[in-house]
Amino acid sequence: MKILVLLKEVPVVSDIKINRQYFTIDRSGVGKMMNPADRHAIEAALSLADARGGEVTAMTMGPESSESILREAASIGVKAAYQLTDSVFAGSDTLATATILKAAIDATGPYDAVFCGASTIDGVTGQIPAKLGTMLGYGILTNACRIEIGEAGLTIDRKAGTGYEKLTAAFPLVCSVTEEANTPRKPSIKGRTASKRLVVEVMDHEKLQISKDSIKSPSSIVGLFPPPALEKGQMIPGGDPEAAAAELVDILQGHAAF
Amino acid sequence: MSNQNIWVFFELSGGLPKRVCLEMMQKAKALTEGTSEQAVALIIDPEPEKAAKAAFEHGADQVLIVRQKFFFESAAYILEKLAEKYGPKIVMIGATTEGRDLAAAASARLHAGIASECTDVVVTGSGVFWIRPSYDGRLNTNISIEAYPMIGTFKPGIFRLQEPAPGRSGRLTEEEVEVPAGVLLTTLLGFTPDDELTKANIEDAEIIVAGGRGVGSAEGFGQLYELAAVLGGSVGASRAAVDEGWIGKDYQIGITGKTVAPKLYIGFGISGALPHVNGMKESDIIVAVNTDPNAPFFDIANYGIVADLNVICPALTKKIKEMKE
Ligand SMILES: Cc1cc2nc3c(=O)[nH]c(=O)nc-3n(C[C@H](O)[C@H](O)[C@H](O)COP(=O)(O)OP(=O)(O)OC[C@H]3O[C@@H](n4cnc5c(N)ncnc54)[C@H](O)[C@@H]3O)c2cc1C
Ligand SMILES: Nc1ncnc2c1ncn2[C@@H]1O[C@H](COP(=O)(O)O)[C@@H](O)[C@H]1O
Repeated sequence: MKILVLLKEVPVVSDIKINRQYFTIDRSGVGKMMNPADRHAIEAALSLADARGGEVTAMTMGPESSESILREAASIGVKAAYQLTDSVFAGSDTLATATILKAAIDATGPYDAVFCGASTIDGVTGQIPAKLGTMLGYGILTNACRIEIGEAGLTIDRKAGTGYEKLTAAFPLVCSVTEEANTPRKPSIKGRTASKRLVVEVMDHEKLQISKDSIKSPSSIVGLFPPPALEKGQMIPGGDPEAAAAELVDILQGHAAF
Repeated sequence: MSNQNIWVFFELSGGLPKRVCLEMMQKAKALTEGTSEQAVALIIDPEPEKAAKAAFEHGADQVLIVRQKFFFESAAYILEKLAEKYGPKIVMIGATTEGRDLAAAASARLHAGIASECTDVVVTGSGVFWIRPSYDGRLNTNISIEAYPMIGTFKPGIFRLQEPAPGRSGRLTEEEVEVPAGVLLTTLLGFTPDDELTKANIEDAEIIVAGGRGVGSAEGFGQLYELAAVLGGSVGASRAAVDEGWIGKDYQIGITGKTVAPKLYIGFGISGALPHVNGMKESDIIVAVNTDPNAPFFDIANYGIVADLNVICPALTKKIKEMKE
């Protein structure tokens, strides 16, 4: 089987400093890491390769620094890697990102299964899996918290409100994986050598034969502003707990709150 | 053709619309008020009648119905065809499990720009602005999309549900769209209810008793469960309490957890950090109990008590129990 896993390098969001007066963002010295869910996507991809034979390839679209997450993936068992890096890819929204990833999948595939994280911690959109699946014409299994490998495809469970939904799709498919789906394996000694030896193939828009027009982002950020302050309410004296409880219950009853 | 009207995609559960759809419908109505645009509900279901009625009562000027089983792949196809036919300006979709997949698939089909998990949308003479929290909720981002239709997804509880207008009605249009076999590549095999997930389904709770790091331990949450039980409510938590392992991740309220908007929210031992507040600030009544008089939660709570939760929580349970007897 030919299996692909999609990885994204994300900033450590809480490291980002914000100047509250001028709403400027200071990204200097902010750490970068592999999006947490993507580790579990790698594990799902490797499990499928273990069960059905075949190799796992990793792909990321990101700046030069994103090479390190590809090497990290190689240390766990990923065999080949593509890095989609180009100044015209910078600032891509989810539609443009999916379009670029699709072009790279067309150029390097076909794949039987494409695994990705359920969502990223910087964008938190979870948009890529179903967008990409739709563009590729693949089955789409999102937010897997359990994955079962079948003869012709995958069956997943995912959380939906008051219970679990079970979904299935035949290969080829896109499957997005949550952090509950599995426990990622650790890098091995052999993996560390593989990580150093990994040849990362870098691709830009020309190599992928995509026109700049087709990857223009329809959405853009026009500004940042602080969330509005909320209204302050009334304090109830807390010295005597019985009295405080009685007063609060009175007030809540007045609002017919329960 | 110039695009117009605001569409709201209706997702149904047991024949009735999910609350987030009604919330978005009222928002769509408010946005079209005083303009020549219409608020339109799109319902894909074999039995759309009850949902259509609810859509009108929550502000729909027009309801488009397609009598078919809903699945995100076919729904995205239908949405594509109807959007090509009618040219909506905006399509609002609930950020539910299926809604997210639908929004992503529809955006890919229509090559439409999308703003996901928004907390507001502002329509002005100069354009449409999509607001979503970023940087852990420390800043809001203002997003614009350059082409129509635009898609926006909204979590439940972002817009406060107002009273409906019973008996209000409008134009009902039936559409038929044949979905080619090749569109359906994924199959929903079934749904298994789960007790744990039902307990953790706080998005639909009317009363939430939430605990934070101040609760101190998993055992400490026991008193919150007791209070929630007498109130007929659910228990929720801050991320700190979840990270401590005192309660499951499914109970987390906030930007990286669930967005809730109950009638009553009582927070015990929660400081009121923005990432948490962003997930509950639309609650009707907010009560905060904290030993620290300077806790930021007191700046936004409707009612605050500076006291030890280990004393106040049982006292409240006792008082309410007595009252109910
Ligand atoms: C990327 C990112 C995403 C995040 N997402 C979320 C999210 O979705 N949800 C979320 O909640 N947080 C989130 N956070 C974390 C958030 O910033 C806060 O750290 C968190 O909400 C703090 O939880 P807390 O209020 O329970 O704990 P603390 O801030 O430690 O506050 C505990 C409070 O309990 C009070 N207290 C202590 N003892 C008692 C007592 N006996 N009686 C009464 N009061 C007492 C203290 O005075 C204090 O105010 C996120 C952070 C980041 C960086
Ligand atoms: N730039 C990217 N390069 C490679 N994979 C990505 C990229 N962006 C998103 N993904 C994949 O899609 C998943 C969901 O991302 P998102 O839809 O942005 O929340 C991530 O966990 C990755 O697996």
